Amino acid sequence: MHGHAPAKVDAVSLHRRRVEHGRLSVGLKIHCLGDGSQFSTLVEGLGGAQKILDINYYKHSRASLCLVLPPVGNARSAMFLLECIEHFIGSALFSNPEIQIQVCSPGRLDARRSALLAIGFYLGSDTLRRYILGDLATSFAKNPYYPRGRRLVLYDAEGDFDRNFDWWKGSGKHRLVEPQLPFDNGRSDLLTGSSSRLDIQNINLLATLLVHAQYQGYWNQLGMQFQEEMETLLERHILNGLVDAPWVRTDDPESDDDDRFFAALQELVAYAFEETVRIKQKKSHFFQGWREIPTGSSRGILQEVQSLLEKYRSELVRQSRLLDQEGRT
Amino acid sequence: MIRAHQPGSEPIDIPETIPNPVVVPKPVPAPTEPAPKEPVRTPEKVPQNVFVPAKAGASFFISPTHPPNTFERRLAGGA
Repeated sequence: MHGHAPAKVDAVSLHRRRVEHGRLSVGLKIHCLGDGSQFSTLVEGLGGAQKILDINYYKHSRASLCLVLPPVGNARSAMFLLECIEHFIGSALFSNPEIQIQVCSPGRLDARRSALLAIGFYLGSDTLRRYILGDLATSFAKNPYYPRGRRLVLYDAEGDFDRNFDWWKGSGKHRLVEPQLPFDNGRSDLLTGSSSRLDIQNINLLATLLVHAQYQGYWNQLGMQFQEEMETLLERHILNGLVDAPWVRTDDPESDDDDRFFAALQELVAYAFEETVRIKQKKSHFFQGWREIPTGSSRGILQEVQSLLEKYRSELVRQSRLLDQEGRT
Repeated sequence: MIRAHQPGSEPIDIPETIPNPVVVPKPVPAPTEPAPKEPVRTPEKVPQNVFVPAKAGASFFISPTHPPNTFERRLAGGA
């Protein structure tokens, strides 16, 4: 792979374990909905299908193969890793409808935070998607031991888990960096579908804030604040009821209701698509010289979510840099 | 593409995905050069009896593993 993209391969090798600003590590799974022939050289190079594909029972129900990539310490390395594979196989992985990317974050989020992860991902993405329930079916949807349902957010199935990434804990000026994650094997994964670089960055940010809020990590306070703001935002748009739907299949038997989840997802999708129509009309009125924008109107849920993500992205980096500066003095 | 169709009307195609109109694409800075190689920590061996045409005082070019010959002594110490 080095011969195809030397700079990126070196960057991944050098920074694979590096955790940036206390954000979570990133795991990736690539589900290929085509025949998967573009991956054959890569698969052979890694030891053959029997070694790296067949042992993995989990995959998207329409996928010919699911490639599980080694986790990396930061979103940038995750993107470079995908780009390295793109160069090697000579085919696009980002924004390719035949490739579905699953972004894995350490730590199982509870039902409510899983809902916020999925909603934040959906509204913050650079692509608005429509779904049918079948789009979210995997080989574990009805598994007798690990039933995961058809959802955007999926828990792990207690498989291999690499804990060797830094975990920030403490608060304020007292930051403690543990060399291992505080989870034995829990994960919250998101089935992004056809995915972009922004999706990976957003999911990494959202998961960091929510996981730290739930497991009292260093970003606990920031995460709680984010959660509160996100819930207020949804309330403003009368979408707060969506959070009560079962966005993830937990051990609670009541969460086993794909239809209730899907109804909530459909409502979110419809709201977002309506919002795009409103934005287009607003733009067209602007160009025609109309200036009648209703007073007191919201900036729109899509814009609000972008601003919220940007605010927390910058705040997390700002606080982390402040810590570094104080550490040096 | 999802096809919506009601009897008596033309079917319309509903796109499965549309761009989020509020997202401004930002390029991710990519590394352009391969990472520098790790610095060599062991000194490279200089073959014996090789004259190093350097000025006096530049004796670090001479391998420390062998005693200096006359030429080298002259260069290093000015003798």
